Amino acid sequence: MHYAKVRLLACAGALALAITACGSSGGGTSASGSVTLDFPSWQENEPGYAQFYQSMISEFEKNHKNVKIHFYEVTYDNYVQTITTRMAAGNPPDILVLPLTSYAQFAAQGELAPLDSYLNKTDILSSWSPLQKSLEVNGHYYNVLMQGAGFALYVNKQILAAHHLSIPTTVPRLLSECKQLTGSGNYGIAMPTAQDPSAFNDASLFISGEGQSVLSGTSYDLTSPGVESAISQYRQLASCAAPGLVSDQMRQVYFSGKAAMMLDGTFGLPNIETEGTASVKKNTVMVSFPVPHQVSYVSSTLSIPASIPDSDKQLAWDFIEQCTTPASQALFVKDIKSPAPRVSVDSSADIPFGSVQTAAVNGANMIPDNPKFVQNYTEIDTDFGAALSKLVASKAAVGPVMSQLQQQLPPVG
Amino acid sequence: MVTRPPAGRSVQGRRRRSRNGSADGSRFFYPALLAPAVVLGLFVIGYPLYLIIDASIRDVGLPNMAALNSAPVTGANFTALGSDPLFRQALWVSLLYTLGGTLPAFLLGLGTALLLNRRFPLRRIFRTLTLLPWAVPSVVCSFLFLWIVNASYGVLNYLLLRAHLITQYVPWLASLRWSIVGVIIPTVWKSYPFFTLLILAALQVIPVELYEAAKVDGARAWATFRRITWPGIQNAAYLALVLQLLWTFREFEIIYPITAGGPANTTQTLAIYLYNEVFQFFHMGYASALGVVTVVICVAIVVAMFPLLRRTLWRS
Amino acid sequence: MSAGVSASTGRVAARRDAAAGTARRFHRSRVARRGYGWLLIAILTTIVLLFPLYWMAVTSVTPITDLLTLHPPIVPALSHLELSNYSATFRTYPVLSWLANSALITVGTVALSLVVSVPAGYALSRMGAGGATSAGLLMLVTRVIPGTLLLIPFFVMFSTLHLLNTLQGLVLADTTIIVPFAAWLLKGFFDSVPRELEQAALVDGCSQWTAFVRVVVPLASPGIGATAIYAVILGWSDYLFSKTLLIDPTHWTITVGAASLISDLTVNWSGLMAMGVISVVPMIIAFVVLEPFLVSGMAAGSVVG
Repeated sequence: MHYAKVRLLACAGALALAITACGSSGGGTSASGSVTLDFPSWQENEPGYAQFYQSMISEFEKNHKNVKIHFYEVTYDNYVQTITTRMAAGNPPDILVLPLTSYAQFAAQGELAPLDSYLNKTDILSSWSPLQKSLEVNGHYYNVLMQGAGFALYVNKQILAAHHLSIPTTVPRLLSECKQLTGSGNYGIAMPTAQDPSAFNDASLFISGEGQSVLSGTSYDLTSPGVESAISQYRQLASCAAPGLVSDQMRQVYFSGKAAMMLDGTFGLPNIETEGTASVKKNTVMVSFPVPHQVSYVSSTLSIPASIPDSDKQLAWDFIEQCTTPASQALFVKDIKSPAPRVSVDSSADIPFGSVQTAAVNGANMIPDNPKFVQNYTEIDTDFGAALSKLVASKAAVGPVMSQLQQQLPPVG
Repeated sequence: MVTRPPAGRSVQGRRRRSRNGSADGSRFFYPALLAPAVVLGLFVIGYPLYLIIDASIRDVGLPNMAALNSAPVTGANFTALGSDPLFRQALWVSLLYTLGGTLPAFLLGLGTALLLNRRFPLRRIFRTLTLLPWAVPSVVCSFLFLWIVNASYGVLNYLLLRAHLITQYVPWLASLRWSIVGVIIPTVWKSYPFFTLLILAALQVIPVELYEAAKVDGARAWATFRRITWPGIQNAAYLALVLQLLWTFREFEIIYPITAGGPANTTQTLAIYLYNEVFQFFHMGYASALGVVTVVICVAIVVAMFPLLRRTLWRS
Repeated sequence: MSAGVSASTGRVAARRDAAAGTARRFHRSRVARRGYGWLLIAILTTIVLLFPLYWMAVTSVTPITDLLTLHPPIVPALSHLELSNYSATFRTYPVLSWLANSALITVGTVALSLVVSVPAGYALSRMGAGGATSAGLLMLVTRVIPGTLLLIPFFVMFSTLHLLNTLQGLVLADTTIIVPFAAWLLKGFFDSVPRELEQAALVDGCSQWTAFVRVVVPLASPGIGATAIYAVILGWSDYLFSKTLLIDPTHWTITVGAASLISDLTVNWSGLMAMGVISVVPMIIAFVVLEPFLVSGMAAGSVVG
C-alpha cells in the first residue's frame, strides 16, 4: 500500500510534467518559412496604446504575408529586467520599446542596431519632434521617438471653486493655493513624495521651467541661486502633498478626490477616465504647469536589437517605419489622445486640452544637450531621487544637499 | 545438539562486511539514490558560481554571455569595492536588516512556541493560525505591507496614533531613518513562523515529567526555562537562527517591491544593491564582485556558527 | 515498614505523596484556570499576528474612497462592503489561468522534489558520517548564493535547454532550490528509522530498493509530509524565478500576475488587495489541511532533538 503511494507520487510527478509540457514559447522561424517577430511591451494592455499597436500590427501583417508579430505584455516594473536578461542570453525581442531610463545605455553598450541607413531613406529626421535629436548616441541614431511627453497640472475645478480659488497661472500662486487647500486629510496637490524614478523629471520641471539649467558648460551647477530657489519651490509644493507616496500611489489620491490638483505627465487623462470618481472625471481640467518655460522629455522609443539576423532587422524596421507614416501618426493621435511625434500632424483640435498638450510636448527637452548626460541618466536620476527624498523627508537646508548631490553625480565632461 | 547461530548474528555479520551498510554489497545503491540530487545541486551551484566568479574579474557592463569570454580580465571590480561608499552603506544596511529582521522573529517565534506548548482548549486551531503568515507568498506580503505602512493612509499609522504612540503619521517608507523599520516589519511577520515551527517541534519532545518534577521542587518559571526548556530547544533554536540569518541576509522579494533599496539607499542591502547594479545600472562585472562578497560573508556566518551547529547539522 | 531508614524513607515518601497529591489537586484546578488564561493570551496574540491578513481582506471589499482617509474603517459596516473588486479582477485578468499555472507548477514541484530528495535523504542517512557532512554542506551551500545572481545563469541554462516560458522549466527551477533543504530534513527522519528494519527485510530476500520503498519510506511518512508541505509553500510563492523564466502572460503564475497589478500608472489598493486575497486563499486552504502533519512530522522525526 505504501509502495503504491510512492508509485502514485512518481506518476503524479511525471503527469504534472507532461501536462505542463503543453506550454511552449513562440518566436523564430517555423518550418513553413513564416517568421514571427517578438514584440513585448508594457503598453500592451494600456488603453489607447493597445488599440494603436494592434492596428499597426494588423496592417503590417496584411502587407507582409509570411510574417506575424507576437505582441504581448511585460509589466513595467519587470520590463528592464526582462529585456536585460534576454539580451544577456543572446535572445532579445525583435522590436524593442524602450523608456527614457534605458535607451541610451543599451545603445552605448552596442546592444541596439544603428538606424541611420534606414532613417536616411525616410523623412523622419526632418519631420519629427525636436526630441528625436536628443536620441543621438555617439553620433548615430539607435532609436526612433514614439512618444514625447510634457508636464501638466490637472485641476479639480469643483474643489477650487468650493474654496473660491481660481486656476493658478504662476508658481507662487500655485504654492499659496495649495497651502490653503491642504488640511483635514485633503491635500492641495498630488505628486510623488517618496523616492521615485521620476525624480529628475520633477526637479527638471522646476529647474528648467524657471529657465535654469543643471549644467554650466560640462560641469554641474546645482548651487547657483536660481537652481536653489527652483528646488525650494519644489520642496514647498511637495509639503502640500500626501507624504511618502510614489507616483503610482499618488495618482490614487487625486482620482479619489482627496487632492485638488495633480502634477503629472501629459498622458494622464485616460487614467482619470478609468479610475477617477464620477465627480473627479467631470470636473478635471488640464492646464499647463504654471512655470514660465514648458519642459518636455522622451517617453518611449522604438529600436531594433543588434544581434538579430539582418532579414529580421529589415522586417522590424518595416514595422517601425509603418508606425511613422502620416496616416499612422494620425491614428496615434486618435487612439492615444496625445500629440504625435510627427510635427505636421496637428493634434490640437482632436484631443482633449489639445493646445495644452501640444505646448507641453514642444517644450525644451529636460535632458541637457550633453552626450554623456543621457548615457549616465539612470545614475543621475537615482542620485537626484536620493537628494530630493532627503529634502522632502527632512528639514535639511537645500544648499548643502544640492552641493553634496553635485559631488556624487557622474561626470559628464 | 547443533545450534544454529541466531539469525541476528548472521545479520550482524553481514553488516560488518560492507562499510557503507548495504547488506547485499551493492556499492552503487546509495550513490545512485543520491545522484539526481547531486546533479540538481550542481545545477544550482556549479554553473552560476562559475559565471559569477568569471564575470567578477572581467570588465563587462551590460550582461552578455557572448561577450563575456572576450571581455578583458581585470581586478578593478574588487578594488572598486574598497572605495565605494554605497558598498559600505549596503553592508551596514544588510547588518541592520538581517539582525533586525531575525532577532525579533526569533523572540516572537520562541514566545508563540512556548505559548502553543501549553494546554488550552482549541490549541490546534491557534497553532494553525499562528503559522499562517508562512503560507503567504513574499510578494503578496510585500504589497500588503506597502499598504499597511502607507504614509498617508496606512492602518499602522492610524493605530499607532490612536494608541498615542506617535503624534503624527510617520512616512515609514519615505523617511531616511525609519524606512529600514518599514521593511523589517513584513520580514519579521513572514519569518517568525519558521522559528515557531522548529522550536515547537523540539518543545514537544521534552518529557513532561521533567516539568512536573521541577514544579514539585518548587522551581520558578525562569529557572525552569533555563534548566529544562532551553537545553531542550537550543539545538533547534540555533539551527533556525542560522538558517534564518542566511535567508534574511539574501532576502530580495520582500524589500524590492516595497522600496527597491530607497529612499536614498537606506534599505539597499547587499542583495538589493547587487540586483540594481545588474538590472538598473548595467554593471555586471561589479555586481558579480558584490555577489562573490555576499557568498563569502554567508560562508563566514556559517563558519562562525559552526560549533553551535555541529550537533544538529552533522548529526548522524 | 521497619524503623530507621524505612521510616525516613516512608516519611519522605509520604511527604512526597502528599505534595504530589496536593500538586495534582492544585495542578488540576490550576489547569482548569490556566487553560483559559492561556486561551485568552492565544486569542489576543492571534488577533495581533493575523491583523495584516484581516486588513487585506477588509481592504479588498471596501471602496477605495472609504480607505483613503484618516479614519480607516477597522471594523467596517457590513452595508458598505462590496465584492465588485473581485468580479472586476476576474473579469480583467486571466486569474483562473494564473491559478491553474501555479497549481500545476506546485504539484509538479512537490512531486519532483520528493522523487529526488526522499532517496537522497535516505542515502545520506545510511552513508554514515560522510553522508551527514555532505548533507549539511549541500544544504548550507545553496543557502549562501543570492537568488538574484541566479537569474541570468538560470535564464541562459534554461534557454539552452528549451525550457524557457514553460511550466516544467519552472518546476525544475523550484525543485533545485528545494532539494538541498528537503534532503537534509529527510535525512533526519530516516536517521530515526532503525537500520535493523531494512536489514530484516533484506534477510527476508528483498532487494535494497524494495526494502527502502516498502519498509523504510512508510515509516518516515510524517517527515515526507513535512517536506511536501515545505515544497508546496515554496513552489506556490515563488516570484523571482517565475517572473524571469515565464515570458507570456498566459503562462504567468498567480504571484507574477498579482504583482503585475502594480502597473506603472496607478495603484488601486482595493483591487490589489483583492488579488492578494485570491493568491493567498488556496495556500491558506492547503496549509490548514496539511499543517497538522507538519508539526507532528517535525516532532516525530526529532529533527532537532
